[in-house]
Amino acid sequence: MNTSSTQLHLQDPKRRHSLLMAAGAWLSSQATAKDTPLSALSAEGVELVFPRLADTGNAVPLQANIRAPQGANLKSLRVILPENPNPLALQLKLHGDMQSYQLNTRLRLYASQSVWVVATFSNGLERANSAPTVITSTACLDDS
Amino acid sequence: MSKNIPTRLAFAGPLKEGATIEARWSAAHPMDSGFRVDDSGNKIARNIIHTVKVLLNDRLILEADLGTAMTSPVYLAFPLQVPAGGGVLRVLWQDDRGQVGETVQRLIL
Repeated sequence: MNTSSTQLHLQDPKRRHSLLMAAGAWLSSQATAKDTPLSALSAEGVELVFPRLADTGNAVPLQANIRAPQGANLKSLRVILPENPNPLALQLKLHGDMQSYQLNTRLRLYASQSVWVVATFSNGLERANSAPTVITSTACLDDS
Repeated sequence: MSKNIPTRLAFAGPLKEGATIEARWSAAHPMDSGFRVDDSGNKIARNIIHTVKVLLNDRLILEADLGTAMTSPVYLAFPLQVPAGGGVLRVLWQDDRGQVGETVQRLIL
C-alpha cells in the first residue's frame, strides 16, 4: 500500500518536482557542509591517479603527483577518505626540499567515495584535489 | 608476543647522484583496523602501523602517520634524491602494540 501511494505521489509532476528539489537541497547542503574547506582550494599541481571502478575496497591503489608552485617546497600531504570510519588515511610530513612529489600507496575503502589529497607548501599555501571511485564491496566489514 | 613482520624496501630509478628515485616500502603487517570480528564474534583489537619514519643517512626526510585505511600489507612509495656517494635508507615503524621494526637498504652507486 505504501509503495503504491508513493508511486502515485511521484507520478504527480508537482509533487515529484518538490521532492526532487528537497532531496537536491539536502544533498547539496550535506556536500557543502563536509567539503567546503577542501573543495574551495585550488587543485592546481595536485594530480591523482585513482581507479574509477574498483572490484573491492580492500586495496585500491592511489598515485598522487604533486607539483609545488614556483619557489615553494612541499611540506605535508594528507590523504582523506571522507566516508571511512577514520577519514584521515595518511599524513606525511616532509623534511626535504622536494618541489615535485610522487606518492604511491594502497587504501582500504569503506564505501564508494572520492579520495581527497591535500598538499601544504612551504609558503603556507594549501591545494587539494579529489578523485571519485566506485567499489563493489567494503573493506571494513567481514565477508558475508 | 612479538611476531616477525617481514618488510621490504626497494628502489626504482637510476641510482646516480642527484637523481630522483622512488623508494618502495611494504610490510606484511596484519593491520587490524579494529572493525572486524573473529570467528566467535569477538572484536579484533586495532593493531596497525601508525607511525613510519624514514631516515636517509641518519637525516629524517619523511614522517608518516598512518590510519586504519592503509592496506595490509602496507605499501608506501615515495621519492628521494640520491645523495653524493650513496648511503643508507632506513624505514622505522611502530604499531599499536608497541612493536617496532626497521627496514634498511643501502644505496650503492
